[in-house]
Amino acid sequence: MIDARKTGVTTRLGLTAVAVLLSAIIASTSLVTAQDACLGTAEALHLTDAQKADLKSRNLRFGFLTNNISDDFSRTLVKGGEDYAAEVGVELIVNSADFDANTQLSQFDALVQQQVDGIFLTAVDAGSIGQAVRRANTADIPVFIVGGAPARGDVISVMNASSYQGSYDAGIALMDKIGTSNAKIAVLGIPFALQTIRDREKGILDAIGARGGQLISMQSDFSQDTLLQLATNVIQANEDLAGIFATWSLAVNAATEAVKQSGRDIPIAGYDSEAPGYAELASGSTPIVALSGQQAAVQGRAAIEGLAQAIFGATLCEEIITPNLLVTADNHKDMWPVQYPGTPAPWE
Amino acid sequence: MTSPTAELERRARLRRAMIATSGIYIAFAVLVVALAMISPAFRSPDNLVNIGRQVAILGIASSAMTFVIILGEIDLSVGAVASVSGVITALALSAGIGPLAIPVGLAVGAGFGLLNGLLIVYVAVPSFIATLVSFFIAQGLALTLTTGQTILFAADGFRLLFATGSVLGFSSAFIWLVLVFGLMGWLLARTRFGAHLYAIGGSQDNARMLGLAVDRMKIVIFTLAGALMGLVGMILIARIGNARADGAIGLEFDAIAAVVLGGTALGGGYGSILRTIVGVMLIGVMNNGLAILNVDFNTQQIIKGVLVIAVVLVDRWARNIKMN
Repeated sequence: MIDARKTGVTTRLGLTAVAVLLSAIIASTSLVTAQDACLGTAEALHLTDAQKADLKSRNLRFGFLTNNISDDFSRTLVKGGEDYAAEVGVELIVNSADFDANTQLSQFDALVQQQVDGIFLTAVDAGSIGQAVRRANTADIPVFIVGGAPARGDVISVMNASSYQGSYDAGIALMDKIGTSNAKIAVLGIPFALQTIRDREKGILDAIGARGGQLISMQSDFSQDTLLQLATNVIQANEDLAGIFATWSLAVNAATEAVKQSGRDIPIAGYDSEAPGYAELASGSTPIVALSGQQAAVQGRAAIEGLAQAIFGATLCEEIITPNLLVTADNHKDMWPVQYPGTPAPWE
Repeated sequence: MTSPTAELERRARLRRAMIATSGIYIAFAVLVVALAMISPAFRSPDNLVNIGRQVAILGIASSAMTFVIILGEIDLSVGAVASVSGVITALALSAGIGPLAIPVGLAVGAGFGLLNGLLIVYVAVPSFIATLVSFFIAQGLALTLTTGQTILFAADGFRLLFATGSVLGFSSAFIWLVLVFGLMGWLLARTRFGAHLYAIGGSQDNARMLGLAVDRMKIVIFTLAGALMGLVGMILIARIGNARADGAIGLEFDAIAAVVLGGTALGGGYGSILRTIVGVMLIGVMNNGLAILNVDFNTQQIIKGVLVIAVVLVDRWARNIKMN
């Protein structure tokens, strides 16, 4: 005999389950729609001709703060921003903090005081800039940041190079070049607590793991000369060292010079492909296997376009990733103009 | 004939005096022996040559800083002046002026040193401020000249002469270091110039009363230090094969640390090149040993801090024995 009460309960439960399922589907669909609605790539930020004309008529002023200007990445980032700002008639106020968080804070506050129309920055310390970002929020100034979200305040988006993937790809190229299992790898890096650095380190560690290698040393410093010393010491101490991975430009230079001076055949891969790295790849005899290059010029342009899109009312996705280039001896001539447009190549 | 008690007392005094002046050397010896026992790679002859090459830049900067500190002054422009000298030398080499790039690099360093001396003597600003002024000007000039770029240059002869060349197994950078240590040590310990430097550093007022040319000494010492920074800049770019505006930034702090670690008094009037050599070698051996042992960066910083305070305590203990 069928229990009517039980049947009723079952039916109700069934209906509730269906309702929950439907709600979940509707919610996820709307989420996907919202995600689709936001601009999530550098290409998606591109302005139409009409928007460019509109921008020119507005006479906007943007602040453009970098953590330093002493590397090719920052220099190219600024140039990318300046070139595009000039094209769309935006006045750009550029400043470098020379890796000093307090200096950057002062520069940021000065921009808020000047009531600029937008601020783009590569933060020295995303944590300490939060209070200033809040002040910009209060003044209705959109803030677009590279590297990591500030601890406080709202930004329109965080732009990042694909640090993990770039490092992983270069790491795999290194491990494949070595070609033996259990290869001993040393990593030369920078003692910066930035997310991008952590991602680069994770990328190479995963690449080493994926090919059955072994990390035997992890050294880091800010100075090129100290990095050269560290690389020399690591080579000296490990007769069976199979490869070196450098997580930033000066470490690439230092590792290359240390390997050359040692006279040993130790392949190198790294993150950051700057002029000295390109010159090495062009030399025809280099220990460098592959370098992962950030597209700084693309990011510089995206900085201006992102702020402009926010002013036009568009929503930017929480994170915008710009893909890296994998530069090798075979493709370096093609990659240089992509990475450093308008800049003479070091071998010319 | 001396009594046994007097003889024992004389020996004890001698032993105390030896310990008092050897605290830093004892600490250095303990560090070297410990590292040699732990790591076969550390005690290999190649690694000793390696350490010699690596301490060249710090050693030359520290010998210049020793003179400045004995004078009772300080030089905060060391790293920036070495960087700008290196940058200008690299640009000169790129421009194809060949060996003339060498006097250019030295002149840039000496010029900044002269500026320091003139500011201290004729504008009467403390050396802390005067050298900070030079630091900013030199750093700004280097950044302007490089526009933030790494300056590449191709000059194999230059690189061989200043860093990558080798004589009897020793790198040319190390040979420059030995020459500078020898010259500076001789100047300080064996000449009237050195005696006047100690006297002025001990008490400028007394030195003036004795008729010593205090102002001229200050200008000479800072110009000499600047010229040595020109040499440091050239060794720096020769080692790595490129020049950067921030190439030697922060070198001043390492140099001050090496000099003070060696036992030279920050107040002036006391110190020696030999003590600075030990201070430099302590830092060099420590950096090399920790990297050879594959100690990671963060742990290295902690160990370095502990080792430095251990060395200072050993030195203080030795001095206390002397005072007692």
